[in-house]
Amino acid sequence: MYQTLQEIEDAKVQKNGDRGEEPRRAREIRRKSSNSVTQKPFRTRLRNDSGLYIKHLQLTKIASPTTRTYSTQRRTRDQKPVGDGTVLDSDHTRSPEEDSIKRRTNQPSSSQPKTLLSRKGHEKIKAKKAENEPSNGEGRTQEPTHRSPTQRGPRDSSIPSGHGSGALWKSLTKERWDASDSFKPIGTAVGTGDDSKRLDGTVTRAKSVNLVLESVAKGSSEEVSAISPLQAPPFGVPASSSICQADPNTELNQGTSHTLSHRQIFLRKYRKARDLKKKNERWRRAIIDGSLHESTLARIRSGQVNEDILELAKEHGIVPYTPEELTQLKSTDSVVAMEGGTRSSELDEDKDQHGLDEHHMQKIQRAVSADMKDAHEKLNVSRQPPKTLYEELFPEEKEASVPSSPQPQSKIVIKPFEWNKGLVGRWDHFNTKEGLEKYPPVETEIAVSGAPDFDPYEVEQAYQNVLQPVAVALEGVSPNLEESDFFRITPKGAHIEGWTSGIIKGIFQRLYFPNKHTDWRYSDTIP
Amino acid sequence: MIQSREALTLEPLGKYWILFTSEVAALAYIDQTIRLHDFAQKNVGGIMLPSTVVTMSTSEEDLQAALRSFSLVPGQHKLEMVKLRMPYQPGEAHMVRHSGPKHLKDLQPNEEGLVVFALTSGVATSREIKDVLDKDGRARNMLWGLVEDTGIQELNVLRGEPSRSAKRTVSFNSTKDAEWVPYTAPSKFVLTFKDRYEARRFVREWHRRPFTQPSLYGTDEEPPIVLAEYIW
Repeated sequence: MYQTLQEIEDAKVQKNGDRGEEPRRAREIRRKSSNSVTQKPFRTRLRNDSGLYIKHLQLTKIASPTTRTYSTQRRTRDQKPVGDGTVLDSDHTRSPEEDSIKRRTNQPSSSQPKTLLSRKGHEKIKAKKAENEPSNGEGRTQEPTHRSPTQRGPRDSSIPSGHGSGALWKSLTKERWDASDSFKPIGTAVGTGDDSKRLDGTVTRAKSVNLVLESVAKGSSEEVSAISPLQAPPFGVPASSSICQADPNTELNQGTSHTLSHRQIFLRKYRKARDLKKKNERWRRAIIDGSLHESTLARIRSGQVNEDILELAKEHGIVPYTPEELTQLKSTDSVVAMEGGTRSSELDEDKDQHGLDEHHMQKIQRAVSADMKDAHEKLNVSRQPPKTLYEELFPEEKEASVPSSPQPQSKIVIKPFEWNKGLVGRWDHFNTKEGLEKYPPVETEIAVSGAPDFDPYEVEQAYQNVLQPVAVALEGVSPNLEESDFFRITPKGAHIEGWTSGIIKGIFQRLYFPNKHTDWRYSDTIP
Repeated sequence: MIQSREALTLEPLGKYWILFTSEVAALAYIDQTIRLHDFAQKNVGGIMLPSTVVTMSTSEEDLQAALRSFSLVPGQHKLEMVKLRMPYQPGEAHMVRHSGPKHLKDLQPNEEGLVVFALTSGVATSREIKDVLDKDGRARNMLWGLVEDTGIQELNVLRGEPSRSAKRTVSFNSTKDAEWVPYTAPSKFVLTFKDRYEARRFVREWHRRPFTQPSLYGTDEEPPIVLAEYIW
């Protein structure tokens, strides 16, 4: 049974027996597999025991501290998945039955999944493996049983529903996992074979698609396998191995709290810009009215405002500070500070409205500034990612996983539907000199057929004939008919307003062709 | 719609070309004509068969109106109506090419009405015709609105059987041609009016009217009759 494309290709190559001329695709795959520590996402064609193929089950390795993970593979004893700081498997929950199976199959016990981390982190894990024994998994109530696809038998692991603390996870998976008694998901058959070719054990059952995508957008570099949600296993198909749910006690909530969605970021920016705009407008009005407060005036004079406001202030005769005055202000630690300037000025402006004295205002100001400071600190703290095991182990890796600013979304440009492409403008070159030389106009009509030898001039003729009127000949009738005799019986479209018969009013022309080759039956009688 | 006429004498041949803007319209027209003709065939004697009612699926009054309005082909005649197919004959091709909307638009200022002005007998010059028409216009208190230069054009008829009533002969210089007795048919003109309605008015006034020009007929003869026909 082939599990991966790679194995299939390998088998093909071996079958051919021609190593020197092995296909390029196989060579590439071989080269990749030889030095692939960080496996790229690839497609596997999997087969379960019932003989059904799961086509294109895409296993994408997406890493994020925010993604829920669960395993699809049977772990070895020493396996310590570190991907998001959660350990899904532990020794004391492993059943002895599985251990015996593992010993029988004699699988090499890789200490950790290779695809879980980057190369750097992988080596570091190796180094620190002994001293950092993760102590997770204590709060777990149920340990999912990992099965190899070859293993059959009654399922002893019921997937807990609503077990985790994440509301998203609950809401998304509740309906499906509630029926966990009858639900037998298809396993991904990546667990068999040797461990080096395995995919990573932790697979994000990407019910939380947004989280996964978000973490990708923020450029987190950890790697965790994820199954695309579109390729969720169907129900009712006998399973070869189980998809196990992650530890519900992981830091899902923390992960969601410190990650800002695009909407949140956008809203913050929007509100900031809106407030700034309002403030500028207020200042501008104050400058024009002349009711500028001292602190605001000082702020403007020190040049800590917008350029247009500065220009407006110059127009209204507000002179900026000289350098001497600036140094004096700094030394005296004026109210016009960089940080609290706006807040104080606003408060001062409010004071006039509320009619408070200076003492009260200073109190309020202090309190508010303290609150603001606290709030800022809280915000900064909450923006920081939580302390996970991975970050504890490798604090220098933390910078790489800091969510960067969201990438600007690409503007979608819809192409106009080119309905006349290929018809209009295609034969414009016939009007040029070269085109006329190449395809000189002929006088005779060309019968257009689906001939294999394609002549564009013929097609042009056909196109022009389409635009020409369609002639109908009526013979054997009275020569004294009138126009109205023809127009009277035209079918009228009752359902289309303005629909006409389409009869063209011809114009009488007296033509004849004094040529022996012309057909006198038509040419002589054409008016 | 173009009525086919003989190229030299402009005599109608009982053949018509109907030009359509699209093939769909042409096929719809043919279909309608065939159904109406079928209906007219079954109701020659004025008796309506029930089967036709079913096929037409309209009320009886509509059927009668349709039957009355269908004047193209009598019911007892065969309907010959075909759509022309490519490749066209040269004449057809010319007609089709120069009857499109574009060409018609180019010809829009040329909206004069044409009238075939034929005499049953006698040979007249265009000058004589003009004199007669001016005289009639003065009597009518309004001159006929003919186009100035090409208002009256004579159709040169140079073939056909010799007419006994021909009074004037064309003289030829060469003796060889003198042996061949020349023939002149009764005079035929194409009158070009500035307006189509004026042309129709003229036809209504002058059709079957005796052309009382004393030089055209003898004292013992009846004056020739004018056959005026509007060319549409």
